[in-house]
Amino acid sequence: MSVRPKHRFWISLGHNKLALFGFSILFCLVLISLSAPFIARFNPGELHMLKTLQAPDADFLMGTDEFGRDIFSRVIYGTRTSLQTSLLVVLIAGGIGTFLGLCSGYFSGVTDFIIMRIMDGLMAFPALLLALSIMAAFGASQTNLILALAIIYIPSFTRLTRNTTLGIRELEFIEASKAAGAGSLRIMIDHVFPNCLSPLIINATVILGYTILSEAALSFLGFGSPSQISWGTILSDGRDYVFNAPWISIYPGLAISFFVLGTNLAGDGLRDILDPRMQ
Amino acid sequence: MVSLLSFFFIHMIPGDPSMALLGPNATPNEIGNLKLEMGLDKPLPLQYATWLGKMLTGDMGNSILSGRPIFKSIAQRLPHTMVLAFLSILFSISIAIPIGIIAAVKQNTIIDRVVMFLALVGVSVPSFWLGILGIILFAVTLQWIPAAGYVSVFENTLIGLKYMALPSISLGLVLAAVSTRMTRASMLETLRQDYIRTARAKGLGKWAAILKHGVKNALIPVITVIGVDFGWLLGGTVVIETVFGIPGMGRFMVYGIMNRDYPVIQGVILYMAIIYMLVNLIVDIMVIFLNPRIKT
Repeated sequence: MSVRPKHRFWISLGHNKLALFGFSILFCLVLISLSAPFIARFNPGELHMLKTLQAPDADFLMGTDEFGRDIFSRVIYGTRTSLQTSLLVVLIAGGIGTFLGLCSGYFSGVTDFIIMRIMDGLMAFPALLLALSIMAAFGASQTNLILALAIIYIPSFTRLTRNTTLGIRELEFIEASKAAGAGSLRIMIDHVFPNCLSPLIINATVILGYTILSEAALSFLGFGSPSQISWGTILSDGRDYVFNAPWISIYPGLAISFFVLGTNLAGDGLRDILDPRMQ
Repeated sequence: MVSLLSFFFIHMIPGDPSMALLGPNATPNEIGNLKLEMGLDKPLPLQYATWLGKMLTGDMGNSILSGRPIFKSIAQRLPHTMVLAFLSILFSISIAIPIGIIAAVKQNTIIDRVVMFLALVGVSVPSFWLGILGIILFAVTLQWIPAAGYVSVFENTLIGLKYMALPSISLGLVLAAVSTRMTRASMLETLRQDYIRTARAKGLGKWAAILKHGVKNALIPVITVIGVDFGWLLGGTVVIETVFGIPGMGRFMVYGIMNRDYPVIQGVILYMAIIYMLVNLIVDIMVIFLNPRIKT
């Protein structure tokens, strides 16, 4: 797969309208988060005490919350936190998970047994409950939220990498580099890892979306950091005002759905393009 | 394994339940006495052994805060969560399986595309947000259902079901989206099999072949996925119960975490994990039942 010419990837992507749509959503969200100060009309923390719980109008495009804070600006700034959180989670979970999977698949035997039993243990719990328990153990903060989410998504990366590695390990070019005197770490990084990349990228894209969904659920339950503005915490703020100020809840949820739809479309598209078995 | 994890995780919570119980004005002496009483002064492995021993005999200890036996509280709350989970699954399969089959049979038509896109939207939406939208639409705007409160199905089945409708539909819709995708993929695979062609060749009509030979085989992976998704569902109920004020296991757990009530959290996690495993066991048995070729 790594020898496939790069331009073919772009051509396939150009033909896949849904995937293109997904990537456009993600691209727009990145742009929004980078240019948040220019798009937002107010400081997201700015209080307008005379205009609390206002319905959306020309000034406050998405209305205001109980402190008169502009929901539009908060959703725009929330994009930053939410993107940051999901990227960090995927980087941490992906990094640790991939490394463990490489070791597990490459060394097999006892290493494999220990790593995979730990993964089984992690997967024996329903994911959100596991994250909740970890948050309960370490306390509510943005860092702990990221760590908790990273832990629950490690197993998916580990299993994926392990299974791919098991297949590659037996191939001749691995034997050839062993014969040439390459060390285990070198073989894993230089030869095995590049061949695991396609499924990993697909998985990472999809997990990016899952992370946002879990983050929103945890923040909604009150386990996010209240000082951080993320889509989940705005939703949580709106919880008590569903009846008289539904706009606080509607818009951040819409943002979450768009983001996750983007990652799902992109993930599906990447799977079609990168994984020839699915064609 | 699960019991060990749930025990030690919870004990890493910073803060002390005895302090939470006695308030900030307690003297160190009082705190010491209470710790002695609750066995919190003993080393952790010993606490774990005592706890596990009691757990095996069905005694889950008392809630530190309310002093009520946890087993009793869980027995009271579990049925609510189970009804919610059951209705959600029922709702999801009753739409996912027919729609998934139709999408597969009409592959690459406009129906298929629309269904698949909607399913993708479905998996992208937070279930609790769907619940909130439901409240806004049906309770606030249309006023079809009461906006607040909760009546259990065990007290009054009809009214109880009315209260359960929105929560189970919002959970069920997301599940349905996942299962529709799975049903379609699995059905497509099945339709390519030789035995379907044989059935058609011997003169069976298109739909007869699909319903008689295709569906049963196509459903095997779908059932497995539903088992796995049950874990997601248990997590989902925690949030949905909070949104709709259902006094189930999920809210009990959130209450436990907020109040650092260790035994409550341990009890709930243990129970949820056991239920999760039981459901997956049942799923495995069903799969063997559906497909006699699989033997363990």
